[in-house]
Amino acid sequence: MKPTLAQGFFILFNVAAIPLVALGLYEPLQVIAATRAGDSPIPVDNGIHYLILMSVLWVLFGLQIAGLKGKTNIVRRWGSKVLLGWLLACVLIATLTSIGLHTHLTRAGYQACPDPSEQSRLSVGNSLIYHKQSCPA
Amino acid sequence: MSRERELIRELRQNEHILQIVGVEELWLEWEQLKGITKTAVNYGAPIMDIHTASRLISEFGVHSDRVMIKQYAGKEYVIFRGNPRSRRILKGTRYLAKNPKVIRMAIGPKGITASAKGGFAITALLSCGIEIFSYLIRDASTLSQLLGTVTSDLIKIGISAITATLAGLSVGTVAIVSSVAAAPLVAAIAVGVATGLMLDRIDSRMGATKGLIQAYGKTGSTLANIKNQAQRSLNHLERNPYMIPCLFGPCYGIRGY
Repeated sequence: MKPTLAQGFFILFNVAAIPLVALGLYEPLQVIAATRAGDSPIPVDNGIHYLILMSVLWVLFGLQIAGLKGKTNIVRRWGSKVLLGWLLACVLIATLTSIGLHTHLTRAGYQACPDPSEQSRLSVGNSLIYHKQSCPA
Repeated sequence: MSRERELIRELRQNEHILQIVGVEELWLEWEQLKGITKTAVNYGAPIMDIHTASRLISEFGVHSDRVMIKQYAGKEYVIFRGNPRSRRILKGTRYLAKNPKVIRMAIGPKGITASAKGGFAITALLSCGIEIFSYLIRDASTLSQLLGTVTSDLIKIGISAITATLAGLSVGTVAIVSSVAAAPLVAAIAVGVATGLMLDRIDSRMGATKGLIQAYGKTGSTLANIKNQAQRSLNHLERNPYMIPCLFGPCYGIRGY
């Protein structure tokens, strides 16, 4: 791949990460708001939080900018550590958010039911619909 | 008394519990197991990538500026900086990009592409296997359901693999960042997971898999109609053999030659 094209794709992925990470953070807040309002049913995709993994691209972009500004020593010393630390933190945050939301909904008296609109799923997590009463037949 | 105990022990040793399960119960069990199995399959490719990334880290340590990709005499080489003695697998300083060791460690363009191909193959194989098994054990499943689900799965796996490869290749080529050994793989993991999630969401919202199942169903019924019509025409010809020449040329009172 040509460096110019690669840089173009790199910037494109970084820009695409903005709405994706925002979606990953917005969904749990929306679910909490719906629980407080007592809405039923509440659709929850417990894999959507993993969208915050896209933020690793921002770390890479930050490292690139730091390197280009002459701070190569910092990049060399801390680059991999920051990147891997961020990745692990994202995985941890996404997993804990998923578990936390399920606990929050269960405590509020909701029951997790399978989403009938989902025919096949290949990504991480499950699409669920939380009902106040028992699952519809 | 002791003989009695011995007999009881022997009987217990040879005890076998047989559970007779109805097809519907078996189906329900499988439905639950299918969810877990598919989830495990979904985690398969990212886990494989994380495993490779961890191998890379154990090989190079957590310091950056260790890998460079350069071209000499029209051939692509992967150059490793640092002390070769500290490495266990890649003990040289310069390898061809096609070198199996380099490819196995998912370093360089070839390595990243090979890693993505492997992930695609494993996910596709397992996911299709699960769907086929599900189709085989349930009488109510239709061929259009199987084809629709498998097609949708393959499209989603393919798009995710392509996007992840693109991310890995671009990160592996851009300035500064490309020198971090694990960076392309980390980018590929993040983009692959995100693409899969978004594709599943789009599919769920727009009903793409359902649409595919319906389309296959319609194609199947159209084919059945064509078969019935052809059978009717053949029966008609059997009853009226004098009309057979009409198949090969214009005939009085017959339209549509």
